[in-house]
Amino acid sequence: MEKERSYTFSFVLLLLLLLCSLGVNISLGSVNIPLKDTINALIGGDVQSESWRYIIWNYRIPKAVTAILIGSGLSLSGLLMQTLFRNPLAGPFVLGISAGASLGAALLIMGSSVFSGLISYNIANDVSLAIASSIGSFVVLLAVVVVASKVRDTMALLIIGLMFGSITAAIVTVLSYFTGAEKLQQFIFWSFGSVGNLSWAQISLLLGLILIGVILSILTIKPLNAFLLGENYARSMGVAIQRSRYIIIIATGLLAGTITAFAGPIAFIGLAVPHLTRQIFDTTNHRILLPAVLLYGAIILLLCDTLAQLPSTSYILPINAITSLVGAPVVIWLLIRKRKMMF
Amino acid sequence: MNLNLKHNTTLSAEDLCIGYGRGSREIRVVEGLTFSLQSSELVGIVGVNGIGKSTLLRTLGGVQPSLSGNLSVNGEALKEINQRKLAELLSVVLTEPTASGNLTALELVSLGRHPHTNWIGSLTAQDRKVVLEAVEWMQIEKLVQKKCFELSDGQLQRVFIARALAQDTRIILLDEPTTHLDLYHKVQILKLLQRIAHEHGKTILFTTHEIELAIQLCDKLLVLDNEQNAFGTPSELIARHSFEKLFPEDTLVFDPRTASFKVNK
Repeated sequence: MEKERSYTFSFVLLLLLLLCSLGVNISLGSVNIPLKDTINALIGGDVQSESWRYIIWNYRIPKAVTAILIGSGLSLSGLLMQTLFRNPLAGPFVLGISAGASLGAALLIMGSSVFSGLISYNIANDVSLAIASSIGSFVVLLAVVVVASKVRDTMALLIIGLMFGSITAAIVTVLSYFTGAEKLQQFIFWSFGSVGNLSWAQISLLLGLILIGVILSILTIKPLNAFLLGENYARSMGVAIQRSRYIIIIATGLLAGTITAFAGPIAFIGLAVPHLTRQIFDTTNHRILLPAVLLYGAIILLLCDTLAQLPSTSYILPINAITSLVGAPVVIWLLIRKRKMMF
Repeated sequence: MNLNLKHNTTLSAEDLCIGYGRGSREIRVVEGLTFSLQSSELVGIVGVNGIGKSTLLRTLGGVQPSLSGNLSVNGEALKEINQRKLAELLSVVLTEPTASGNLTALELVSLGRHPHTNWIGSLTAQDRKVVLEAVEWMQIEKLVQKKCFELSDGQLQRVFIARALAQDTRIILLDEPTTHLDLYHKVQILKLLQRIAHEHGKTILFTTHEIELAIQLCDKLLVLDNEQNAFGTPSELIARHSFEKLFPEDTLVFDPRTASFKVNK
């Protein structure tokens, strides 16, 4: 109880780290802009070339903001799932929720050519893409919730998540078989995951939806803490189990679904960040973990994005590959150190 | 503790029938239960495996509804009490393993304050005081900063009982609090429960297979055998031969003089 005060230091440290990684993320990119000019562009000073200012304000900053939103949102959804399913390996990607979002997106992008005439879809319509992916992720999430209430086994739940992933992958394959090259490419680029290419309007929409998810999560901090003891204890302490579960599920689906819609499936952030956070914040209290996970997730994705754009080259790697390279070892490490595999 | 609460009826059942299902698919597990528990009482529920001890505890805890009869907590029908209010009257200690091994003992005990805290669960000075009292009562001061996965079964059981105490309810229900413990720790837990019941005016009801220990330590016992379902003080029950029929006589014989079971060789 006395320890709560000492977290202030960790939070300050995380905030500084966030600012640093934001700075690194903005100052590095395919075009080499000197640090001095980057700072000047940010604070409105003199910049050697006006195109640099344009790059920073219209390309790098929106991308960094997107990375922050997505990293925070995915990590939070992972934290919610780990507590809800009482499973340290739960996360939007592992449980097939990202796959569900992919299916929603695939049906929307490619379905139009398969069921030609039935749906006329234009890729510029972000709202419908967000809705389709969110519905897709909700459907899978609800299926996982139903299954989770029947099997309490950690491994069974993960295998089921994997199976949902396979099913959606199969449907996507069938769809792509019947789809023209152009739309197929559109979908494949989406599935690589990307935090770039979002307009400010899209970012505002993303921000709004993530904010709703974060607010819902904050409202369930108390029930989340009670869920740490299991549902029966939570009920005995007066927690409205069903209502809390629904709010947590809606928040998770909203976060994972909309993020996947805008940025494509981004692997492992949701699973790995809550565990990394617990290494710094030695607590299970969601009042501490929730803001910590938001900060940590933003930092990790900013760094992953910095790596993905391969500084000073014109190549941009799929961010999904980078997060997997970072996240998968974390999962392996968790499985090896079983005692620490708890949440 | 409020001493005028002493010897008030806290939990009472009248012709209670418990079980599962509804209508024609109703499964009656135990019928005709009548008992009444007072404050400052340690009460044990004994009976063979599968007789319905846990079902009874779940029914008393409001987890599942009773099939018929009356059940009241603090003089109010259990059915009429909402879950939020019940959490202030009755706390539980279950057999299920901890969900999160990373909780520290202190965090776990503090979670007991849940029904009393605000929407985000911050602890007031009063909450902290109650938590520390519970920690003292269960003698777990040295364990508070340890994580649950570092604790032994006996220590963990004390931490969970402290959590129930921190919930500050008049009634505490425990499902087999002594399983997986050696004889010393069984007695340790039961003696602590007895002290808490007597010194702090709580009604403590628990299920157990330790009939001989229960006879020695409990104020009252409920013997579930699906016939008499006798309820009374241990000496009354011995005089009424309630323990004799608990197990088949060709295997175990109850000796009323020593209040213990002997293997029939």
